[in-house]
Amino acid sequence: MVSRLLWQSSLRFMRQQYWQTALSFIAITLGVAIVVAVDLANESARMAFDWSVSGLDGQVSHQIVANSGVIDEALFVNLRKQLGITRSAPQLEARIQCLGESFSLLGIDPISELSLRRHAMAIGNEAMPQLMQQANGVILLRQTADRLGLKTADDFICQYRGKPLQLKLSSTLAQAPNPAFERLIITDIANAQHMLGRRGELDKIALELNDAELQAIKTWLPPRYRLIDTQRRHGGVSAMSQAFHHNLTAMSLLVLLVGGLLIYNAMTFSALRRQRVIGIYRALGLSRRELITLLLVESVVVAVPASFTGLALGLALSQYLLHLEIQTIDDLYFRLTVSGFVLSPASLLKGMILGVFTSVLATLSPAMNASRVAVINLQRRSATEQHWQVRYKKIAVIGAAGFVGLYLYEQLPTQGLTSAYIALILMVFSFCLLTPLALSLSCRILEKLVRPWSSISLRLAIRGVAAGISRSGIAVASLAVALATVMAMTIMIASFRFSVDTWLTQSLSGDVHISMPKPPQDKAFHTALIDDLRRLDEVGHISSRRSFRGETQAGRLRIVSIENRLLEHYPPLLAQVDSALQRYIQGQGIFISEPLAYHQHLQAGDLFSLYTQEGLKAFTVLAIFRDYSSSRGIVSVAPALLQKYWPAQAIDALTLRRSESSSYDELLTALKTELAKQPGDYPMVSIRTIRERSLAIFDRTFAITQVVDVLLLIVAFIGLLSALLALQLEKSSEYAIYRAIGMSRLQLAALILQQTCLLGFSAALLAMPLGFLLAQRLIHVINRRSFGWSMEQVFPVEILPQSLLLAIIAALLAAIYPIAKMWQKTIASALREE
Amino acid sequence: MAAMTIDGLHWSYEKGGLHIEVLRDISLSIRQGEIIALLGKSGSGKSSLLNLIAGIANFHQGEIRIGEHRLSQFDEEQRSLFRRRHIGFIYQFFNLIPTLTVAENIALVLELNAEPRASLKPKMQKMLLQLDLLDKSDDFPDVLSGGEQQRVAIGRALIHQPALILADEPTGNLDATSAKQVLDLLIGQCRALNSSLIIVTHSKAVADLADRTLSLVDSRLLAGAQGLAW
Repeated sequence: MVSRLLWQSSLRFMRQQYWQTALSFIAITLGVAIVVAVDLANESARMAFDWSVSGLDGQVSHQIVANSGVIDEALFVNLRKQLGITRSAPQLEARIQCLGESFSLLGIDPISELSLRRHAMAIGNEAMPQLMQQANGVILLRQTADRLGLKTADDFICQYRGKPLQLKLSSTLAQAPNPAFERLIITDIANAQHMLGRRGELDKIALELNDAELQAIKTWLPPRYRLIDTQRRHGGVSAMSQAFHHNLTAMSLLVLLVGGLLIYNAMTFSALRRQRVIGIYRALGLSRRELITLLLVESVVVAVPASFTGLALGLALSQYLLHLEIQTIDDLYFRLTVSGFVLSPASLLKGMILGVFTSVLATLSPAMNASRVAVINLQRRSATEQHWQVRYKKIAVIGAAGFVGLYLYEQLPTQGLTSAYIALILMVFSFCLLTPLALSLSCRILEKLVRPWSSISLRLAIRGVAAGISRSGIAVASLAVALATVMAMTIMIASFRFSVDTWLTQSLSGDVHISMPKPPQDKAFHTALIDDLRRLDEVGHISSRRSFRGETQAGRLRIVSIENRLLEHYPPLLAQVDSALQRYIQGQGIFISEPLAYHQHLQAGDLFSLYTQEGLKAFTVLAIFRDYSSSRGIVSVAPALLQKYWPAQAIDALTLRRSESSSYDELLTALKTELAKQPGDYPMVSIRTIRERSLAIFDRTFAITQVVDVLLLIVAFIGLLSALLALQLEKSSEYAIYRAIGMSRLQLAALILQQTCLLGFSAALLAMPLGFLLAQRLIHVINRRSFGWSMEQVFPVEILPQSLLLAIIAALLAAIYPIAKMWQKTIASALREE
Repeated sequence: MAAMTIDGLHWSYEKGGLHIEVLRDISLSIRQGEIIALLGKSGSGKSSLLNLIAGIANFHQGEIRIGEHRLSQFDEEQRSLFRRRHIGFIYQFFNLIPTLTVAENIALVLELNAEPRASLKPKMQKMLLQLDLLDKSDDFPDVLSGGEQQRVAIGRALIHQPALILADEPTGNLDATSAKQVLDLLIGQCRALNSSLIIVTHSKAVADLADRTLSLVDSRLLAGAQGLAW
C-alpha cells in the first residue's frame, strides 16, 4: 500500500508534465485504436464470410458437385428414385445486380426443401407455393425489400452478365435466419434455370445423410460427380482469407510495439526527471517494491482512460477498415453476400487488456531500474544515465543474438505462418535493442569525422545525443521501426505490383476479350463463329479459353485450357521437367500454378490427381507457372488433354489480336458488326481495361495497409516528439548556461535543430537495412507462406530519399516546441530551475 | 543504554581500479538526546558516515546499532522500513518534494508509516505551528525562501519523533540570520523530543551548540575539532 500523498505527488507531476502525459496518452490511444479496429474489422469480415457461406448452403451434411461444375438434373431424379434419398434438394446460384446492389439469386425446389427443413423454415409454408405459382416470382427479406423500395407484386429488373432479368416480388420474409439472407433473392429452381438460361442444370444437390445413405451414395455416384462434406468445405473456404487477416493483425501489433516503445520512453524519462525526488522518497524510507508499485500505477492511471479512448477511436476506425477489407475479400477471395458490422466484446476486452498490459510492461523496466539504483546514487543527477550507458551494451549483445537467431529460424522451410509472424515481430524488437549501441557508436564516429572542421555547436549536438542515449536510443528505435515498416510495405507492394503487372502483360495477350454467351452453344457453332471472326481482315490471331471449376485432390479448383495459344503467351515457368512445353502440348501432363504447388508441396515431375469423366486420374506436373489470379491455385491443361477427359467443356472466352494493318478501333467496329449477326450476347472488353481493372483491384487491396502505415507513422512521430522534448527540456538548464555565457537564442535554436535532425537522420539510416530486411521477409517468407506466391523483388530507389525526408520532417516538427519553450524562457528562470 | 553505537566500522569503494578507503575503524557511542557536531574537511567522509548510519548506503565491516537494532542484519527493504520509523534526515539542499505542499511534505513520513488520519492532522498542525509555517501550509516549496524550505525539511525529519536525527550541513546553504533561526529550531526541537542529533557542519557556531564535537581526519574519527582552523 503506497501513501495517498505519493499518489497526489505523482498526479501533480503528471499534470505538470502535461505534454509528456498527453503524448503517452495519445500513443496508447492510437495503439489500442489500431489493434481494436483491425480486430473488429477482421472479426466482422470473418463473420460475413461465414454467414455468406452458410447462408447459401444452410445446415446440410453433404453436397454433390460435378467435376465439370455443372450437374445434370437427371442425377437428382435418379438419386431420389434409385437410392430413395428423400432428404435432398437441388440448388442453382448466380450473382446478379439489382437496383445498384449485388445479390445472390438462389434457385431452390420448394417441395424438396421441405425435406431438409432449412430454407423452408425461413420462408414459411405459406410463401413456398407462391414461389412455384408465379413465373419469375422471387422472395426477399422484408427489410431488403423496404430498402429497395419494393412492395409485394412489384416488378423489378436485375442484371445477369449484362443481360436484363425481369423479376416479380411474390412475397417477403419477416425474419432472416442469418444475415446472409439480406443479400439473397430466392426463387423456384425452374424459374432460375429459365432466367439464367441453364435448363436442365444444377450447381449442387444438398443432402442430409445418415451413415447408411452415405455409404450407398458413395458407391452409386458416377465418377464425374463428387460427394463433399459441407463442414470440411466451409473450413477450406474460410482458410483462404486467414492469411489476409494475419497480415493486418501483424501490422496492428507492430503499431502496438512502436506505441509500447513510446510508453517505455515516456516512463524512462519520467523516472529520470524525478530521480532526485525518487532519491528523497527512498531516503525517507520508501521501499523498492513501493516505488515500483507507484510507477506502475502511474502508468495504469494513464493507460486506462487512454485505452478507453482507443476503444472508441478503434470502433470508428474499424467501420472504415471493414469497408476496405470486405472490398478486398470480395476482390480476391469470395463474393460476400453480407457485410454487417459485428461488435465483438472479446475484441474490445482484448484491446483494453493489451493497452494496459503494454503500458505496464513498458513501465516495468524503467521502474525496476529506478528502484535498483542505490539510494545514495539516486541523489546524483546522472546516476541513471550512467547505469544505462553500461546496460545498453549488454542489451545490444542480447539484441544481436536474438536477431541472428531469429533470422536463421526464419530460414527453416518447415515453419508455419504464425511462427513466421512471431519471429518477424521479435526480429524487429531485437533490432530495437541494437539501436542504442548503434546510435552511440555512430555519434562517436561522426564526432571524430566532423571534429577537424565543425563548429562547437555541432559537436555539442552530437555529444548531447550520445549522452542522453537512454531517451534518444529509444526514440530513434521507434522512428526507425515505423520508417522501416513503411519502407518494407512499400518495397513489398512495389515488388508485388511489378510482378502482377509483368504477369498480366504476359498472360493477357491480344487486344480484345470476348465472353461467350450463356447457355453455351454447341461445338459446331463455336467452330463456325471462330472461322467467321478469323476471316475478318482486322483480326490477326484468335485464341479460345475453356475454364471450369473442377474437383481435384486439393478440392475444387479452376481448370483452364487455352487453344491456339502463341508460344510467347505461355505464363512464366518457375520449374519444369525436360521438354515440358512439348509434352504439355501433347497432353502428357499438366501445368499447375505456384500457389497450388506450394500449398500441396508439389514439384515438377510429381503426380497430381484430377476428377475427370473417367473418375480420379493422376497427371504428371510438367511445370509450375507463375500466377496471381488465385491464392489456392489453378491447373492448366492442353486442349488435347481437355478433349480427352473433359470433352463437354464449351469455350467461355475468346481473345483476339488485331492484324498488323488495323487499329484497335477498327478491330472493335468489325467485331461488333460481326457479332451482331450472331445469336446471343457477346460482352467485349479490351485487354487494356482488364489490365487496368486488375491493377485497380490490386491497389484497392493494399489501401488498408496504407491506412495502417500512416497511423504507424503518427505513433512513431509522437515517439520522436516525446523523446526530443524530454531531451531538450532536460537540458534547459544547460542551455541557460550557454545563454549566460553569450550564446544567442538563434544559435541555441540551431543547436536544438542540429540535434533533432541528427536523431531523424540516424533513424532513417537505421531504418534502411531493417526496412530492406523486413521487405525480404515479407516477400519471401510471409507472402510465400500466406499465399504461396513468389515475386520479383524490386527496389524503388525513391524510397531512400523519401524515408530520409520523412524522418527529417518529423525531427524538424518535433524541434518546434522545445525551441519555442527555450525562446520564451529568460536566462535567470532557466538557471533557477537548476 | 546508548541511543546509537558504532563498532569498528570500515567503508571503502572502488573507483577506476583504485581502492579508496573512506572510513577506517570507526567506533562511537551516542547517548539518548545527545547532540554531536561532526566536523571534517570536504571529502573526509562525513556525509558517507551519515548515509551509513541512515542505512542509505550499506557496509560490510563493523556494526551500527540504533537502539536494539543492528543495521548489518537488515536487507535493503528492512533498512528502508527502519529508516522511515526511527531516523530523520535533513539535507543541505532541503530535498523537498516539489509536487507536495508544505503540509504534505511534512506529513509524508507519517503517511509512509501508516499513521491514522485522525492523529496525523493534529501532529502536522502542531509541527507547522512550531515551525512558524502555518500560513505557508498550502504553498509549494518553489515559492519558499531557503530558510523556510529548511524549516519544512526539519519538520519532515522530526514529525515522527525519531530516536536519531541526521543533519548534513543544514545551514550550509543559508544566510546568517536564516541559519541561526534554523539551528535554534533544530536544536530546540531535538532537546524537546529528547532525540539524538548528529549534525555535520563546518561552522564553529554550530559546533559550540553541540554536547560533543567529533572530527573525521584521514578516515578516522577523533574527539574534538581536529585539524580545522575556524
